[in-house]
Amino acid sequence: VTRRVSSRMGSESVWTRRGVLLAGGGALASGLAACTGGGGHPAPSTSAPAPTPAPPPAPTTTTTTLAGDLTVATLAASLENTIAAAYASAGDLVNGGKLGLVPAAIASLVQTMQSHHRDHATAWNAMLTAAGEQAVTGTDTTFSAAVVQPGLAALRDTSGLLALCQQMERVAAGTYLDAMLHELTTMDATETAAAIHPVEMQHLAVLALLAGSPPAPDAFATTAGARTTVDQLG
Amino acid sequence: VRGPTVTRPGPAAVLTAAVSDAAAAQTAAALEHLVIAVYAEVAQLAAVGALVSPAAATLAAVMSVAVQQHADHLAAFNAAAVRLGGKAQQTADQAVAQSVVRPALTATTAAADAVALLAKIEQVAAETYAADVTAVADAQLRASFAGVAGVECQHQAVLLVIGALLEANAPELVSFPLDAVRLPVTLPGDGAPAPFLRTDQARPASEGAVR
Repeated sequence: VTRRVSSRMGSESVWTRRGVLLAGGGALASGLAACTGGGGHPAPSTSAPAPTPAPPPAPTTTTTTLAGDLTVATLAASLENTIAAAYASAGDLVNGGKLGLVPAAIASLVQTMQSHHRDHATAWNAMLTAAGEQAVTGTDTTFSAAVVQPGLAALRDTSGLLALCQQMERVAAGTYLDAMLHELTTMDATETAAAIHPVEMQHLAVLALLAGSPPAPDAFATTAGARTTVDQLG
Repeated sequence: VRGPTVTRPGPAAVLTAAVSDAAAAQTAAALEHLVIAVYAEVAQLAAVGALVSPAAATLAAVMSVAVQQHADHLAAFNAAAVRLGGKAQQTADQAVAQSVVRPALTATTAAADAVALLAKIEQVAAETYAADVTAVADAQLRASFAGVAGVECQHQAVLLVIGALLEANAPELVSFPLDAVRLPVTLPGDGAPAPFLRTDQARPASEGAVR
């Protein structure tokens, strides 16, 4: 069953992306900083990434309209399930030697992040079940079809693995920030998002250190790549 | 007292925060003043000065970026304080300076200690802002807290990784990018030590209010 949650996504944008320009410090500092509009770091898009997306699965939908923050909790649990499953698949590729020689430190990090995302899904599902809803075991099929599955299929090496991990973490972080700014209205849900968003940002920073991209590219987090409650979940 | 007396902290919320939003913004600005000052002080420590490259250059670059971003945070929080009817905060958070920073600086004997202090104050700032997301009524200030908390955690993650390498007496591995092949297996995970950011080290939202 594909579940489509109702969207209450607001259009208010109180946040503007701000970058930091280094006064000096040379190439290394330039690499560690993300200069908006400069350096070698591409500015994140302001919409969900969709590299040649496969068409989303046909919604054999029984539309379930969940109230209030439960719509976001459902999206978040689905997104976390998607990312955790992607890390598991990536781990299988690593263990199967499909990506060449992947450093053990990176394989270990993938496992750590997978564990974190499972914990995040558990937190959102606890909120859902406490409200009398069913726990979400499915994924964000829109995100999966557009980003994860093509990304996994294209993986060939460590560099690609790191790039896909960064892409997924950026989407997760953007989604939580967007939810805090525009969607969430209850204390529990907002606190949960506020506790998870910084951890996704930590994931991004560590991945960037390994990939050679700026670990703290912006002075203020952005909602780039955020998924919304119009995604198909199932 | 931390914590709002409200039930709907969202965009359309009607809030009665326990602490005024201007005070929360001033406290954040006080923390930013402190963080910037601590970075400057750490940069002058002999133990940090004794580092050689690549560690020296990597740490210097990390600190340079972080300080500039903290200056942006400071400006944003002070702008919010003024917009909300308060005064700009011009001084550092003395409570954290006395309880956290001074003792740590006194005890610092190695670069790893100094980096650990930086990671610690980044965490204090991040936890404070994460807690403040649900403690303020003003949507723009709430957005600032939400957006900055994650960036402080990025700084913290980088510092935790560098600190772990220094602690492991492997300064030659403090490079950018990291040489994953040579890293201890579990070391990257040190940058994200827990699945959730706690708030038990968050500072009271009124602590840095302009009196």
